[in-house]
Amino acid sequence: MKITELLIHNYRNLDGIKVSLEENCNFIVGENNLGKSNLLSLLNILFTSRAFKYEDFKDPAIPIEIQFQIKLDAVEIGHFQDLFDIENYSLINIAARQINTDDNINFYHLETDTFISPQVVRCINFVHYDSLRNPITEINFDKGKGVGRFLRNIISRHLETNNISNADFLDEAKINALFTSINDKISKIKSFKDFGISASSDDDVENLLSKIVVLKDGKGDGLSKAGYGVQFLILVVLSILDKIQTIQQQRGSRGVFENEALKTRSISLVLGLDEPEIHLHPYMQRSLIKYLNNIISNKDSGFKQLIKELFNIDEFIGQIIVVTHSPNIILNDYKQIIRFYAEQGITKTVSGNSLVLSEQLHKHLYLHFPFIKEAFFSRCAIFVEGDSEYASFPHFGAKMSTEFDDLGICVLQAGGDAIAQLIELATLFGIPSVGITDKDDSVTPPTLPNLYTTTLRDFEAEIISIIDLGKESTLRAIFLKYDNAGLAREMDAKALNKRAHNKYKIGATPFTTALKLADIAETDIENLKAFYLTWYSINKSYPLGMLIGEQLVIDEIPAIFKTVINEAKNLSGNV
Amino acid sequence: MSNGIIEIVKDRIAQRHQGDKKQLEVIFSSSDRILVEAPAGYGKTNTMISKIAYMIATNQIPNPKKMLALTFSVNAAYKVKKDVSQHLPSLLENTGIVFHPNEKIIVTNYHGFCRGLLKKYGRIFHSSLADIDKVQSVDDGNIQRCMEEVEGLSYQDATFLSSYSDALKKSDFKYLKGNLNKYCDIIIKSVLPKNRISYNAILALVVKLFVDKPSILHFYQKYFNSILVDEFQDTNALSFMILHHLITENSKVIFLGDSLQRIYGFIGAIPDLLNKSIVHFKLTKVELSKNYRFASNPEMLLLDSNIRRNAENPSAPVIAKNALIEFQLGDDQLDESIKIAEKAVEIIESDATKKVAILVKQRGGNVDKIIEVFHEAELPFFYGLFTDEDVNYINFHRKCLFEFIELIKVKEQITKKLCSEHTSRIQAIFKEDNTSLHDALIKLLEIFWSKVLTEYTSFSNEDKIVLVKDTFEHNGLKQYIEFIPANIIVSTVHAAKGLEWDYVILPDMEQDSFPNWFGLCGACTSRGNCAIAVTKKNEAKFLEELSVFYVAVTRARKQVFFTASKTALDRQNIERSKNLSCFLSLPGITMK
Repeated sequence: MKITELLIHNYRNLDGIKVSLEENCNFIVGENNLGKSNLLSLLNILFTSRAFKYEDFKDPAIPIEIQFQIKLDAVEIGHFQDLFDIENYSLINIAARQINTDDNINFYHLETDTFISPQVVRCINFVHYDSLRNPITEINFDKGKGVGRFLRNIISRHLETNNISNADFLDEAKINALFTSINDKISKIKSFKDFGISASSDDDVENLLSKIVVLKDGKGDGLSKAGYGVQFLILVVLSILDKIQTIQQQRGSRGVFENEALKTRSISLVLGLDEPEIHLHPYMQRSLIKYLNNIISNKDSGFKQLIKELFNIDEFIGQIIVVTHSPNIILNDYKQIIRFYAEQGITKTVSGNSLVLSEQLHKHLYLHFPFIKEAFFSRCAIFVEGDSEYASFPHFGAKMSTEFDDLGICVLQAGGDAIAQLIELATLFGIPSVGITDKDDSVTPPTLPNLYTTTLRDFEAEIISIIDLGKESTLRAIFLKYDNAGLAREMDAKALNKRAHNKYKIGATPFTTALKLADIAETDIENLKAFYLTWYSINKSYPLGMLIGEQLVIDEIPAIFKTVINEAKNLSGNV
Repeated sequence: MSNGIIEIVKDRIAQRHQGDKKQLEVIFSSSDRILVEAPAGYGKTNTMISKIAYMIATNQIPNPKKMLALTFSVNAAYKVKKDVSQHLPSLLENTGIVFHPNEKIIVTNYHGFCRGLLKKYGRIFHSSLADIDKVQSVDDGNIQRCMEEVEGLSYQDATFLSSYSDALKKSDFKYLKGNLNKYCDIIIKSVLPKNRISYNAILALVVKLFVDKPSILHFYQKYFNSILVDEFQDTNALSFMILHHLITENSKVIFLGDSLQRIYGFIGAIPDLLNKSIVHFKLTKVELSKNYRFASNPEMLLLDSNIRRNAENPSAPVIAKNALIEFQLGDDQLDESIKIAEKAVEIIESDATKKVAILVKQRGGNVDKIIEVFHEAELPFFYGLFTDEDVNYINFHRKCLFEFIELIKVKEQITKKLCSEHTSRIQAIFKEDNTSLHDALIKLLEIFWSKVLTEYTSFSNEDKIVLVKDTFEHNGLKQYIEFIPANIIVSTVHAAKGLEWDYVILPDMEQDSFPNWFGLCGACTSRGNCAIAVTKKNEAKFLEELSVFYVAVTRARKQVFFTASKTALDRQNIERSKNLSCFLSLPGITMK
């Protein structure tokens, strides 16, 4: 079973929210405090609890109602008996209603208002995992708490199948000798003696063994010494196994779906992961998501064998819902993104899979997605063409008292043609954005309101134009810091003609000789421009862009860039 | 499931069926398509229960798919469900496998299934269907009555509804299919808005739903991986269309029936359905071969068998040995009636726990004479002379249905209070009616309500509503005759279908009576000596009448007695001399 749609009424700050989910993997992104984690809590309550609590009601005077749609796999058809969506028989629309804070949640088929037993709904098997759990208290054999239940059960199974007792593990003579020695000492202590406390072995072999078994890493160190990252990776996966164990014990064969032709047995599994990236480095984040994806899509053979052996289950019909603040964790499909954002203080959502895009736009988003993931976490995105803008803008911002990180502004680089489309896409996802492209040879102004073009030909032309403000020294300082050849650097005629003359239209006639900065008079503006335009063009790069950003003072930042940055600041402030 | 466990389950079933090869062939059949031809008393119900249990036990109905089991009535459905629930645990004892039958099987009848479906999804046709329990049913076969009950229905529309009903009775598939939309449109536009629905429309709207909304059909095709139909011979054309839609090449199909027990041809049971279905659904036919009912009564066994031989090849039946039947002849109707009374007394005096049924082909002067004699002899009996066409019998059910729906409109819960309120309302309606029919029906109604309250405790309230509506809608109170605490029951063969008694007396085995004038004798060329010759021309009619005869004979668990007289009373109550019924001189039958 897969959750495909949710419409929420009167639950916490998510009142009126509609979310559309992908069948396999979903990433819920957005800033802090918008209710992303509330969404997972909501699913956890719906699918594992009896009722919503008082604090879950936005308005305690009216009911909480959650309408959701579930898609059933072919083998699951019939799980809700003959309740389904008449337009598509593999879907069912369910309304979950809790009338007041003292009531329980009741489920109804949306179209016919037929009551659906909560036990039937719970067969969706929702596993809620949040990174606030303390792994070390769970991942052990002797406490039987959390995932420890699962570990301990492995011992029980072994004992049961092999019919083992204490005598098989203990040399009674030796252990009794030990007890005698201990008791000889402690019996001399009054409180031990008074209360008859003495050392003895645990009669229950399972208790005994669970104290002997500990987990160690490859270096022989106990798990408590392993990093949090390792502990959490283990915890996430064991949570799934613990859940399956619990539901099997409680539910028997209900919710196990049989494929008549293949003779396989499947269960539904929906994983809700809240910020699994915490404690994990970027590669590990992606690796974890890919591993979990492999588990729920039955591609991990080891895990498959394990669940077959332990639970006689062949396959999962699975779905993952991840709340994340990490662009690293997101896979490369925009349809998997559900973005939470605020509009006048109210949480809104956009679901990637419910966007209707033209084929061209879809292709663009698909191709650019890996490079623009960060935008989904920002309050405003600035789309730029080149490395120079990308590197310099944050510095410009800082000088304009517009600290990008504080304001949640991100700068993303894309090819000039793509910027208009990216603005369009950002708008669809509710991400405010501005873009700036080079004017180049075009004469028509851009049509999108937030899309700007450079006043002059391009970034370099804008920078070099500070000569006209008498700021040649800044250009020279940058040049000298950057170019090891220093003042001896020569731009030959060919390079000058290609750039300064042909592209930037400097000089009435083509250059016939090379130019060296040392040779150009400070008043020879034309040749200075020719030299700088050529040199800055040849050397444009991320490091040079950064240097430009660092060196220019506020008055030297080209006006158009200031306009763009101010606009971004405005937009981010509206959020 | 391991093969070891399957073997254990198979062993248990084999023991239960005492090695009956044909029954076991049905139960263990690996064929996904079987038609079980099961004469009365051949262990059909037991075989069906074991088949269902075996399929569940061997996991042929994978979770969460279901078997749809359709029986003749909701009452019969209840019995099947109960039997499976009782049988399954003993079959699976100590195997570690636990199944709840309700998780695997939905037992209902055609109308029950269709009602459930319309209740959920019929709203796309008309909103009233969402509350179909509160919609009053009408019979659209009768133009005038239909117009009276459906306010504002035009004569033209009523006529069309009636002709559609006629086409159903005649199993005219071409007409039914061609006019399905027109029929449903009138129902939707003119009948449902008046909060009325016809019996046929309950089925027709589902056919239309399947055609118009393939998604709905596809769901049910996938949901029911197995479809079992009991009393398959009584399936009408609309029910057949529903089966046709539901069954796909992946469905497992089990039909059980007996063409010789098809006595509802006059209300639309499809002629020669079993043979047609073998082709249509690619069925493998298995014939049960052992008669358990008459296993210890060789003469009855032979009679049963010889009637069937006559049905198999009416013009030249293959008979191995003649059956000697218990027969008494009276000089006239009065003499016959006295002989019947004496026989009945003889039976119940020998054992007061025994029951005897006197089953007649039709009502009229002859059975009235029998009743008269019983009254004079102060012999207590239950009057169960119901026929499905009897206006009074039908009217009683219609009032019951109407009042029931009115009651549940106020309060949906079926309680003791509702039941007694219903009975007293019905008594009030018929307080001027002092006929035996009315008294009998009131008794049956009381018994019915007590059964609803005590027997069907496992039913949800909704199931109970379906049961009650189904019983009233299908004139089903007669089924409760079996619970009447009387030793002697006088009834009709049609009312007795599905019921059994230790002893059965079949009176008036005379020309124009059994078979009757309309059924066969009127147009018979052998009226002079009643030595009937079955030809292609009269074969169909002969078989229809023979089926009634067969059903009558097989209502007995122990013994059937035949009686006749040399005369019979005609419609004007004038004594006329009559030949003995040709059925008593069929090839293979000899009178003692």
